[in-house]
Amino acid sequence: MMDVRCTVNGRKAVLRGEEWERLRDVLYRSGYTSVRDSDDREGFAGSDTIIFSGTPRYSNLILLYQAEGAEIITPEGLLDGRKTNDVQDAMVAAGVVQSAYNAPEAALLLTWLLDRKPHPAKEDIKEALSGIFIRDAGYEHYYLAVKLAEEKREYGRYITAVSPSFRDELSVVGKPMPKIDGKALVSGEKLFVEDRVEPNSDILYVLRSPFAHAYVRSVDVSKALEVEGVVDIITAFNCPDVYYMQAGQGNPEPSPYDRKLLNRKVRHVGDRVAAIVAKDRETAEKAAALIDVVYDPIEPVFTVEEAMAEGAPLVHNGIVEYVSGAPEDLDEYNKSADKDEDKVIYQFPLHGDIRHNIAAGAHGGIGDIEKGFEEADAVVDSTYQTSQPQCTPLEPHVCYGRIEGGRLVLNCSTQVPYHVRRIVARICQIPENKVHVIKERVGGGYGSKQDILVEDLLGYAVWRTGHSIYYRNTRAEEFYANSTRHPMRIRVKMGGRKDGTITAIYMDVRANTGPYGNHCLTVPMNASSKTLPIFRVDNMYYDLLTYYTNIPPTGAYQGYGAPKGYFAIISAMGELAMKLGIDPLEMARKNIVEEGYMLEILRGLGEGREGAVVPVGSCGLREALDKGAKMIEWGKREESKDPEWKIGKGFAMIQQGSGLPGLDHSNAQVKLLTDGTLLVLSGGADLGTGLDTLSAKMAAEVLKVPMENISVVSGDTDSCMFDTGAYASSGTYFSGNASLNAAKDLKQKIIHEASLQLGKREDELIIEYPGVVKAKDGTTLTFASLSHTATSGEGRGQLIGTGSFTTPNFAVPYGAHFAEVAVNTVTGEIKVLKFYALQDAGTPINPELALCQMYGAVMKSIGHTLYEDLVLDKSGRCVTTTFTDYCVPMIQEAPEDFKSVLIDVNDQYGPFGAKSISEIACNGAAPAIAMAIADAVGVWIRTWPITPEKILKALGRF
Amino acid sequence: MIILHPESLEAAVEMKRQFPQSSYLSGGTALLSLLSGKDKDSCFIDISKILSAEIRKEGDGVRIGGAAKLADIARSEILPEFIRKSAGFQSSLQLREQATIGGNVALARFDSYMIPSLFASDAVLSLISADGTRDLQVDEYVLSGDKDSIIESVYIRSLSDGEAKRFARASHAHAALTAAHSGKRYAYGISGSGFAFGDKDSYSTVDFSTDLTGSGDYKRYLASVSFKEVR
Repeated sequence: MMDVRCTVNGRKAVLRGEEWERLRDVLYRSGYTSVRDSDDREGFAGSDTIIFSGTPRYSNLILLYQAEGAEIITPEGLLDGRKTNDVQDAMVAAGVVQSAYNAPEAALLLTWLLDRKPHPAKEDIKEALSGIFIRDAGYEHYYLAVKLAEEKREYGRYITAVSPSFRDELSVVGKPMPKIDGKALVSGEKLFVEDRVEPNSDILYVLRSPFAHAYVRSVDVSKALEVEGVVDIITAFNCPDVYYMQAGQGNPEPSPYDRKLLNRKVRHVGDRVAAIVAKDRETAEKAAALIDVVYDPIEPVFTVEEAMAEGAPLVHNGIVEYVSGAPEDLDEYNKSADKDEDKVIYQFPLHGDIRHNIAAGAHGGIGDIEKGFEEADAVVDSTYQTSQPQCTPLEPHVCYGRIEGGRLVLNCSTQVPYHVRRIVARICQIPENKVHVIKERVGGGYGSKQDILVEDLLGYAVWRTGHSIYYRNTRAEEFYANSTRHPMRIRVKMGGRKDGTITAIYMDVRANTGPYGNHCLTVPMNASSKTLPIFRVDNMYYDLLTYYTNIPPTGAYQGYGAPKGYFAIISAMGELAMKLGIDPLEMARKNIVEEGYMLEILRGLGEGREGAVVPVGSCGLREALDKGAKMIEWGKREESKDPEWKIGKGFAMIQQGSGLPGLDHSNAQVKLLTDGTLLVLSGGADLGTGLDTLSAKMAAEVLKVPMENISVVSGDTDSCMFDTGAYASSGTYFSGNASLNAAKDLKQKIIHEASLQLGKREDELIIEYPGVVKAKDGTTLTFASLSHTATSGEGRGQLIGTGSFTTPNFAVPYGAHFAEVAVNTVTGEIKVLKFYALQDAGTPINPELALCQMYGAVMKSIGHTLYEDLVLDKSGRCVTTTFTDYCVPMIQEAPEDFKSVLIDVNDQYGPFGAKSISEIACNGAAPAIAMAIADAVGVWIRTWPITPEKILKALGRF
Repeated sequence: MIILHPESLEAAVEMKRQFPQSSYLSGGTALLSLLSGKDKDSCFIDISKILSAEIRKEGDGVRIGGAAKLADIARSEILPEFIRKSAGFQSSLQLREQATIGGNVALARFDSYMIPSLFASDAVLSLISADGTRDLQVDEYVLSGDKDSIIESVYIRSLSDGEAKRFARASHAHAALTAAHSGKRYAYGISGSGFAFGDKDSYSTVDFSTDLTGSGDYKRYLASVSFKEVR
């Protein structure tokens, strides 16, 4: 051990540890908990950034001894007591503090920059942020944050508007306002799961399969159990005989229960084989090396083509059961089941056929497809292939659990606390009242934390051993044992007339769900259910089959199937327009839906059941197309000064959903505290997107209370009421509406109580700012006084408003994305010069957060379009297990001219007219960029990612 | 992990002779990246404090100390623009402030930021080892596979203009090809394949192989079009 003497945040400090320890680990252990780790010492993501003797450095790449005499500044050093500095405040104001796992580090970098260059140019800001990976909010508003900080320093206030405001008649809704937890997040407060881990907790370590497909004949843990410090080892042979699935979806789920905690067959490289509970990782690794596993390898399949081939090895081949809707020939079907395999249980039919590797299937449509093609003057028939992008949340999957008062308590980074409770209770075979899930701040979800990927095993391990246990995925495990997008092969056949009318659309979707079937129906369905309804076409049909294979697991990821569907369908539309010699934008304008149009296609697009036909509601699509076309000067050919470069333009019209009408369910409460302030208890899960702030705004708007008088607790299954969770873009529409209803309920109760206290009729009373009941005769009663009386010895009881929200109605967001791209015809290099994202979010409750959500989502989809690639070797092993190998976009990849625009359209169903904003923003980049490349150089690239090599090959360069 | 702290370069190379499996630690961005669990088996000889980081004019050229950071090289106004640009190929500010020219050259990775442009500028490496000191041209050093010597300094003999290029899918991704030329000196670093030093067509001797950065055919093509014809 050594003592290193240095200065930390201006104070002399002694850091104790081993000479070779990473400075980051020592700093975190010494209480500087804002210094985090997102990349397991790769030196990439920047969550471990400090200022080290005047220069920004990754503390993971500094050994402790090297800090002798150094002057170190961590994000804690930006604070004055608890007061944030002006850069941190500016970041909150600009809306970039969202999931915020490395927002403190970004603040540190920008503060460092401004200390050196009080008026930095854009290139200076780019350089300062060149080594930090921002996945949530994009980079665009960081330039704004710097500008705001400069303005504050020079003028004492912000001058530049952070976003437009909406709805003049409302006081907080539609207005940019600092997120209620923004300061806490950007300060680096202890808000994440890793900050809850008590000293001397055990760790969980997972031994994983080296084979993509194999029976596990035996697992001998006897020697491993003898290692001092090993508490327990769980295998397929001693884990609960409980079938479940890992998707956080409403019960009964449209995903097969095709696994147990650990299985007697491994189905991907990295699949669980044994779970070791030990005092530390070193002990667990030692034990893992002593576990003797006997595998019986089977030939794997990795693509849908391999999975559907005649005689293909079967990924699942056990007995099939149905909770309801079993086909009549089930017994016959099961005669060929493999006795060595576990069951596959469907809650209801998903039209799977596991004996042919089919996990789920669907089809549906309207009109007469063949007639539609016959009427066409031109038909395109193209096949598109998407890849397997990974969410790359900066905070990997983590969970901490302990036993408290005979109950299992889990601190989770999750989008679905109530589904976690239900599924963990099921696995542990205990009732839900024995499980308490606390959703901590989520350092990046993006869909992958809708799946219950670590809480299941961790929860059971805690329940079984009685120990406090912490689990954290390594970054490599995030890639090969987490969840990704479903790779999809999508064939689109589209026919059209010379006047631009589309006469028929056919989609054949073949999806690859990997080893397990979480989301096997619903994600691939979205490829059609979120695309076809945007078209006013009488003849549309889709077929869908989802295949099991042995690739790393897939699951939910922002966009949820729609990004792939849009890539295919808009590219096909572009190809058709090119074939007909007409402008694709004119073709779009001619064939898009408008408000009031009856969406007959929805009948065939329900998730495992018949869908409801509804008219198009609020729709800003045409305005988005028109405005975007004007912004990008659609129709004007841009020329580069360098003849090697060709410039092209493309667009995509897009839609998504706002939650799942008929399936989602949200609840909330608003409590009036004894001093008249409010506590909102929301079942919703704020992933950093601002849902808590939204809930607070609901209460503030209805009850006319200052925002600082409202606190929000959310996602705690003990204190908050049930909510299906934050997925399918449900936050604003469902959880927000529940909070709104709870606020309205409290308002009624306040009026009622005030009428009794004041001796007035209820219709004589109104509520005014700041939280005062006022009678017609001018008498007033503050909320504080009212509540004090209500909770006194003779009071009628604390006032609590309760609200829930379910609906059959859809609040569909629409939009259009435009891209201008330059392609180097000699090297194939691609530059996104301009990207304009225009979307209608109804009334954006938090407009600056909404804009940043759009920037972040577009960057993710630029990522999967041009850069990101999860690659497997021939044995199915993932070889891209680092950020560098996987190739995520950084600030240098952001479009030079990047704008997000909110189209003002009020929705009739959303809370104060709001709709969802962020999933839809994942849908446009791939098709817009593909179209722009085709416009530039005349070639259509139909596979992800679109690389320079593919372009050169298409151009015949080699 | 064992860390040795020599007080001179001579002592450092002697330690290397005694512990041949050890590695010199200068900036450490490559050596310390992603090491986990294996930390305890590593042995490092820390030369960061005994190696010069100076960048200064010397005769008709510029001498760069082996410990000079890529960030300092990128900022140095006495170096040719294309060499500064090469240092900037390390696109992360934090890594540029830590990585050294000596480390980047010594690793001799095929996607090295600096090796092609150093060759193009006719750079000479001053080396010290247990056998003494010697000067070697960049290509000779790379092709020798020498891991025992310390790169004490790099002398840029030619300050003429040149070009440096890096072909990678994204700023932080591995490069398929890094190339540079100045006058008639060309160098290519091809991912997964090797280096080529010499004239414009010297890349044709490389056996181009396929990896994450692209196919062999793609990389060969890129090498062939990296630079316009010199008239």
